[in-house]
Amino acid sequence: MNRRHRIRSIYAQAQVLGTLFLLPAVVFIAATVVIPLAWNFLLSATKWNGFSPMQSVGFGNYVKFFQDSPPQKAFLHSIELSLISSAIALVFGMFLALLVYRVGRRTSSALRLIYFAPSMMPMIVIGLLFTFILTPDVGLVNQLFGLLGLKSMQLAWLGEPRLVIWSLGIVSGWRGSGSVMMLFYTSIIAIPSQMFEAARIEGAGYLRQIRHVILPLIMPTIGLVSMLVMIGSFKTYDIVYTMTKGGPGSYSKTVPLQMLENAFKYNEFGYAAAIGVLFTLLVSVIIFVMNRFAKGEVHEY
Amino acid sequence: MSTRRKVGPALLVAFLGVIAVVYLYPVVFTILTSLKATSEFHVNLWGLPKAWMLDNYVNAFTTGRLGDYFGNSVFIAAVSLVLTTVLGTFAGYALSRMHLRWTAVIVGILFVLQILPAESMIIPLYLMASKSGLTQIPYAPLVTVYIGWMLSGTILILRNFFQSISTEILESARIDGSSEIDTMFRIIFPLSGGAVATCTVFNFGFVWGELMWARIATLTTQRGIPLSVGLINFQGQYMTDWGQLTAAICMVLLPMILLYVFLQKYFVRGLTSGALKG
Repeated sequence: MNRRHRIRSIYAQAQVLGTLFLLPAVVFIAATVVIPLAWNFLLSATKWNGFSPMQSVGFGNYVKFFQDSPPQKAFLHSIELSLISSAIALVFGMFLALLVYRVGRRTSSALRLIYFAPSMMPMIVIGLLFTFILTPDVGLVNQLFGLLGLKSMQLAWLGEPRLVIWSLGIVSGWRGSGSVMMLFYTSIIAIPSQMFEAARIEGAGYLRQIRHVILPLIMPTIGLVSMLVMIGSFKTYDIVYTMTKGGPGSYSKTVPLQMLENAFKYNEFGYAAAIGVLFTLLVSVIIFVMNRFAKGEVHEY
Repeated sequence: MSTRRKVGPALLVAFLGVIAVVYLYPVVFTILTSLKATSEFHVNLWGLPKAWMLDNYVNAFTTGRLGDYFGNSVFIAAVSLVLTTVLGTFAGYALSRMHLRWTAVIVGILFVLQILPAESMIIPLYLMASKSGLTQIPYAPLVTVYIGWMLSGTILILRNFFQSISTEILESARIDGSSEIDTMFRIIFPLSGGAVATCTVFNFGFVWGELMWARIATLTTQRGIPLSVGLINFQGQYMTDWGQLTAAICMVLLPMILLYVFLQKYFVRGLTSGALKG
């Protein structure tokens, strides 16, 4: 009995101390995430230029959004960019992971390190590097096409309305492919070797092993990684701002740029907040849908 | 199908090597360009610099304020990482081993918060920071917000780690009368070096390259501007001076490359533990 009392009082002590430990972190998170998030919802129902008194407009900003074409285009650009870059990151990352696995752990360690490196570099650096590489006159890409005698391919990669989103998407997808490779590779090497042996005894080549052993077994990882890549691919501010600032015209303007323009250029803070809410909704829906996919089938091994 | 089988391992390695060159080349090219005279850049785009020189760096530091930006970023990163790690460790421990009520709810909330895009909160944050005068204090808005943003993920990763430490050790220490603080400092923290390093390396990558909040928070000031915003200013001012711009890019990359080379396993671990957090 005595012992139980003692344990209980130790628990109570631990709880008090635990609350104290938690408190500072909670204060920071509340001040920089929870309160701004809540305020963003409230702000989205107002018309406010930042100085004069706030005016409540209810769903006015949302109604305005559906009649206002530039922000709608920005959503379209964000979605396009996200789809292109996610697809490239996933396909290319998987391709690399499968080849790297084939080469073997030892031989491929340096290769993996190199492929993974761009993913760890800040997006602004990648953006500036590729602005440089894609510059029409002296840029590497066009110089390379020049050397190969393909003058017709020397395009203004970031200056052509029909190319710009693709250029951004390829750069961003390329950067992402490294971490995708690493995640897939990690899950492939976790597959027990017996799984491969059966296939090998039947004389299955690597391609068939991929189809019948690797892919089915890492399905849960594929779902999870796809979700992570999709979520990440909506963070477009850095790459768009460093490479095109939304141009040419507004052809590559994505949601964050549009939102900040509404806030800081036109002083429409309420409207910008509404755009932020809609964007959050979009990302949440994607997370929800992808999560459903990710939880599809799980193989136990 | 059978052609694939004929491709020897050596050929495959060679092919992967070529891809590796493509992955590495942008960085190598940037480093080489930063060491060339701008006049040389136009006639000798591809080759090694004829004369290796640091003029671009000297210019970037003296006329371009690169040194200021670099120092600011180092300060911001150091303060926010130390605070995030300390607060995150205590909170993570509290959520894993202190028998708190509502632990599951709090963890769930943290999980949702750390996925939220910055766009969902950045405008009110700016209004809060500017109305309260925080934006007038150098470093303050960046450090505060980075800590708050990094904490959710950091707490989750560290909590996961603490969960993996055997409960028996802790309970027996408790019953033996070891105080909670003693247990933490003597038993828990010595074990958590790897987990802390993983979080710190990853958080550093975020702080070092963050642009959106850094730009907004320093719109109205000339002081405390970090490297990321400085780099954008550079791009605006020296658009055609590739030498100085590449020198500035190299200064951003330098600490990242050093960390990456020496602490690579933590980068990989950070990626996987971040992905499996849920």
